[in-house]
Amino acid sequence: MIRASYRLLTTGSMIANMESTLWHDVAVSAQEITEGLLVSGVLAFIAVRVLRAAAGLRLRVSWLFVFGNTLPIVVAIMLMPWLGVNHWLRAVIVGAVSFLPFAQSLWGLRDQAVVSRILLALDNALPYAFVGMLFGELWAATAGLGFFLVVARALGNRTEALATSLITLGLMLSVSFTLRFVIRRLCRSEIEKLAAVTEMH
Amino acid sequence: MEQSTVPQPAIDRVGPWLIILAVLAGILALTWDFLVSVLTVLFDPVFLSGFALTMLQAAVASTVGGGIGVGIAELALKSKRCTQSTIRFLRLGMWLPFFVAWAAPIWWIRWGEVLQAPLWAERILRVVIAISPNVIFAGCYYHLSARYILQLNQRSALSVIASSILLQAVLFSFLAQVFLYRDGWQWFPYPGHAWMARPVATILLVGGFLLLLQRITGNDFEKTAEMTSIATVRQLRDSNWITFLAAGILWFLCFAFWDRFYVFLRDFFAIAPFGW
Repeated sequence: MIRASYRLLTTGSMIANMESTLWHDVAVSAQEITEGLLVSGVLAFIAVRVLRAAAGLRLRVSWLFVFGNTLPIVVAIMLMPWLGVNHWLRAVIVGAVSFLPFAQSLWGLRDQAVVSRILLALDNALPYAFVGMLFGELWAATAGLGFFLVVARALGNRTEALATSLITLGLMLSVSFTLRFVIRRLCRSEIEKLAAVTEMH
Repeated sequence: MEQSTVPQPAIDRVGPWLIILAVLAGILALTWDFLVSVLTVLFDPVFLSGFALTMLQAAVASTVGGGIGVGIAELALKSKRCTQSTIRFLRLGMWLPFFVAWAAPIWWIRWGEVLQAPLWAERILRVVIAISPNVIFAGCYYHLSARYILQLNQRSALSVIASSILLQAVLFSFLAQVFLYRDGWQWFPYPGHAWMARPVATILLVGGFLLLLQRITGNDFEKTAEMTSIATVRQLRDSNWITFLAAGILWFLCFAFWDRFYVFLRDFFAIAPFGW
């Protein structure tokens, strides 16, 4: 499987008509994840702003929990007639799946500086964004890691399918590792202060 | 101050209500066909049984997988180093089984015919087997987070862990339905008349279920958000090179396990995408 992963990234796939390397698919998926996280980030920011403003009116925020990560997927799929079958639909699916963890982190860290809030929220939402990307590309795509995975599996090439999932996981790990590295560099003192405050409580 | 004794004309009170009623009647008239379609879907026994099976799959996977995960977490809690390393590994490692299952989804079980298991049991088992590893990892992670990072007592931790595990299981069981084709719950839009009726009915059913879950466990958005954020911050503070290396070893062990048992799993579960 590791050999297959290496081959997919250097010489290309063994599947007929899909012989090119996987880098183009990596770029397509990365673009969808970035756009999706942007969508969920903007929505989460608006939601948190509204909720903070509404706190004075004693409005409860618990209803947001009902959405979970499951229902936004259905809502995103329902937008298909308006968005069309393109990368924006997949970005909206990614955004829908990662919205709740993003909003939770922004709400939970609402008293922190904006940079650390966004970075920590991104890190928490990242795995969900990858789940959304895989689901979105299963639904409607012509390129991307999720699309290649579906094609490889459907054509019975399980080794390349599993190798692609390994590459996807590797991508997720590297992005998360980089994010955490940046968070530690930029917000070390803030994190230590916050951890100490939460421990006192 | 003298109060006015002149009675207000009745039309002043009734007027706004009449306008609201007229607007509602207009909306109802415009969406009548759609409402009927949604109600038809909601009372469709096939659709309802699909929903019930999906929730049952999530519940069985949560009970079995969650139980095993919590058991493993209790063992890990005996050592501080082990706990910190496991938490660091599981933060992203709990998604590993999902990626494996996504690449090799289970459409039917090879030994189902041999055992002559009833169709409903086979339908439940297919998804439970596919999502259980994920739920085990998630259960272990949430238990360690609640007990070690958040220092919750057994009772408080129980509701947090149970709702987190169940939410995760519902998500994966929901996504897995797409791979089951005609045997799965067809919640997605259908081409044809009123094709939005199914997703709307799905939102009503799953939303109702999640609302019930929230009422039972008492975990709302605010509480979960606070706990997730505290756990993230403390995790970041506690991470060091030792936990990094230990988490790396756990990743390696998982990949070795995957590599060793891949052939066995492939032979155990047949994959037949176009076989139905």
